[in-house]
Amino acid sequence: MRVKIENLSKSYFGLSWKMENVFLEIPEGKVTAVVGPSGCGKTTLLRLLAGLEFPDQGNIFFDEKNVTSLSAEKREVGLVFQNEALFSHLTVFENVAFGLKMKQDKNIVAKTKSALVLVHLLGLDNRSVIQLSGGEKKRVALARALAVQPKLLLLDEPLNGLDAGLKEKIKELLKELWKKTKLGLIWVAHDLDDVFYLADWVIVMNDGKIEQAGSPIDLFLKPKNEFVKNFFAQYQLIQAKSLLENGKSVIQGTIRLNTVSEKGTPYINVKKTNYKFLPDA
Amino acid sequence: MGKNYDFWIIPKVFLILFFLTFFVYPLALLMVYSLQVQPDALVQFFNLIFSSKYLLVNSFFQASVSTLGAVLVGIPVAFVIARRNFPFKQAVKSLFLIPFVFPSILVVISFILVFGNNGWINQFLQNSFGFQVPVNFLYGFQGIILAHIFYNFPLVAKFVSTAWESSDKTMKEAAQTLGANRIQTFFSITVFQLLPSILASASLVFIYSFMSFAIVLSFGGIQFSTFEVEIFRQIVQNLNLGTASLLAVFQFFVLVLVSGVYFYFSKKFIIFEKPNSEKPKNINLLSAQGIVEVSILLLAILLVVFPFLSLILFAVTDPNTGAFTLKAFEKIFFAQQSSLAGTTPVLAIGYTLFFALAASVLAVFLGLLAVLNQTKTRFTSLIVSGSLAVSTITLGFGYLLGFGSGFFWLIILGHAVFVFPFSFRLLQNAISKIDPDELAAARVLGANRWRVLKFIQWPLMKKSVLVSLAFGFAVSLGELGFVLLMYDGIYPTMSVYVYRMLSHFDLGAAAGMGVVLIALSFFCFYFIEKHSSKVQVF
Repeated sequence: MRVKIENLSKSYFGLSWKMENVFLEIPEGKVTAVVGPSGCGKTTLLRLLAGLEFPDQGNIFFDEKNVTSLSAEKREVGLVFQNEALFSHLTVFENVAFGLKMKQDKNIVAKTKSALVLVHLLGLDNRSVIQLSGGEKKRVALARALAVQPKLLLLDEPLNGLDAGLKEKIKELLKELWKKTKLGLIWVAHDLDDVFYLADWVIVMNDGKIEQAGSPIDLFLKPKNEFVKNFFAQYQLIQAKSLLENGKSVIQGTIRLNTVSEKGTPYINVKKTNYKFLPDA
Repeated sequence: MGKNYDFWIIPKVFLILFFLTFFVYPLALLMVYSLQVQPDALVQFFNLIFSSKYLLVNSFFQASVSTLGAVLVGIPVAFVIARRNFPFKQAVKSLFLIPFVFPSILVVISFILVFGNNGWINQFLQNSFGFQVPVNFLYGFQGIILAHIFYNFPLVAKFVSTAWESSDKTMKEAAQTLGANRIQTFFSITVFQLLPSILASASLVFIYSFMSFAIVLSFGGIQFSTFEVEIFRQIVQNLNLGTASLLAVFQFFVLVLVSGVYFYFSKKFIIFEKPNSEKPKNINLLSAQGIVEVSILLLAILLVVFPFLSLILFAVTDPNTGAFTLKAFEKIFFAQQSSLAGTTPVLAIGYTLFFALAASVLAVFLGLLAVLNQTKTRFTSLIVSGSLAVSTITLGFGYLLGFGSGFFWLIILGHAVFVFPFSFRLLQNAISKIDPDELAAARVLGANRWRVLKFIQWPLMKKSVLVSLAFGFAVSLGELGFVLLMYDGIYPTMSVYVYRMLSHFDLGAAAGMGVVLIALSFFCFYFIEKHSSKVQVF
């Protein structure tokens, strides 16, 4: 589903920034990352897309359909909340089945089970969601959003609050899910660290404005302004080579950092997941 | 905003119209009335408050001493509850909820039975120590204070122990690492952690004692009177509405000031989740401190339990033989006596249940409308805070001026108005605990407003609704002043019956009806208690 935002404005009482005249196109079937400092309006953008907030002016289109005044229950998008927002009085199964129940779906049990299978949670059906661990809660939230088979899935900082090991697991799960479903994904994160491996398209926001939108490479190589340049200055994009080593595929690149000279052997710490393949230009 | 919000304008308008008609209008009428009084009413007003009955001094002095007493009893109890483990702790904590649902007229009877001139203590003094003249524990200032302390110390204990339980341990530890000893730590850290809760509960106790009706009416006699009781007397006995209106308006403004103090401190008294709170210790029975702690606990339990135990005991004991009897209940359920303008005690029970049920249902309905409106209305919070400054007699007076008397629905409406702040707060607590993202999640998954209400909000609020129903029922059950003012001899309630029997010195009938009233109050108490762990009652 293609998302188009036209001339969108939204202001809040008591907030210094306002979202003004935002134009944006989010490509279909891709993973779009929305990044920017805290309080820049990323979550607001997500809530506007989900129909939980309504713009002061402007329009939102899903494909060619104007959904601006459509309320949340009619938008048919999936949203994974930052704090999961699981229904605390319901079990895992009831949580995941909720959306199907609202739709009066005829295959609630089968569809719920398959959503639970998708996130590797089958067997925890009757557990109360209060008893779950952080990672399990995140999986339930994902399954709940996916069960109704939305055309667009919105993720609000899905890795927030998870410890490092868990983060990598959920990252793998998300990659797996996306490969299976190929549904459009809009992923809000406060920096590129967590999203880079999956993102096809990146939107950089600041103070309610879209600073730049483009492919990750474009943002690194051709930042439109100082803000985007500074935002990416903390990362280093390295072009690497694909190799086959003992029958296993590896990538190899060279990292160069400007440092202060110190004694001893220097080491660089790189996360294993922080790589991605892009089509040849 | 989307079009689906428009529906909520209807309950909003209904709520506003309801309170404009049954809260603001009667009060406004009363104010206007007080501005048009004759000069002699004004003279009598000044005479009452400054010289003949010293209303001003008496009311303030009575409320201040009651408050001080409740705080002095309440704080040690709060300490033991918050800082010590003991057997049946949960049961004892719920025991302290009893005074909240205990009708004040029952406090009056049970105090007469224990402290009265023929009461247990005086009989004991006469039989064992040869006292010739009974000691007057009850009639006058001292009895009022005693009853108010019984009534209000649990409130202080509840507020302060909650603050104490959740007070941040690390602050104390920081003080200790900086060299403060236990006493210095208490006075430099703990006191300030508790102060908002102490001041908030104290100002609430002050307000309740200031507007106390049944207790002052029964124990104060002719000499000792407060605003609330004097307003009632001026209306009912002297038919002097002018002076009564001046007294009511004066009292209203005093209470506005005090409730301002309450709201100021209760805002500072916010209970946070307790990540760094201290675990309670066991009581060390071998130390002097441990013995003091146990004594505090036992005395507090005794203070809460003895009134209704004495009442039940009296009701089932034959005064002459001391044997078990059910005569008191025969009087209630089978006697043909119609001492209340043609109505029977059974009818009084019927009226009471009907009023209580209707008032609590109405109050919960209004409370639900108010909290489900989501948009924070200034109007609702104004009503909730304003109602603290409006006594039952004041509102009843306004109703008399606005709607006349003798209509049963006025009693229901009035009680619903009194109960509304409680149900609103209970339901508000429940709804504010619901994560707004949970509601948003339900909507994103395709639930419309009704389904969000049905599947998410209602299951999470059900218990609070039950508790507010029970709470409202209990408040209406025990309320005396408003019904006395409005009932006009036609619709007596159980409280009115007990009051009338007391003034006819028929302690037996009063106690019999009292036990029925206790049973009903306990029914409510059971409901509240059963869910109180899940529901934030205060």
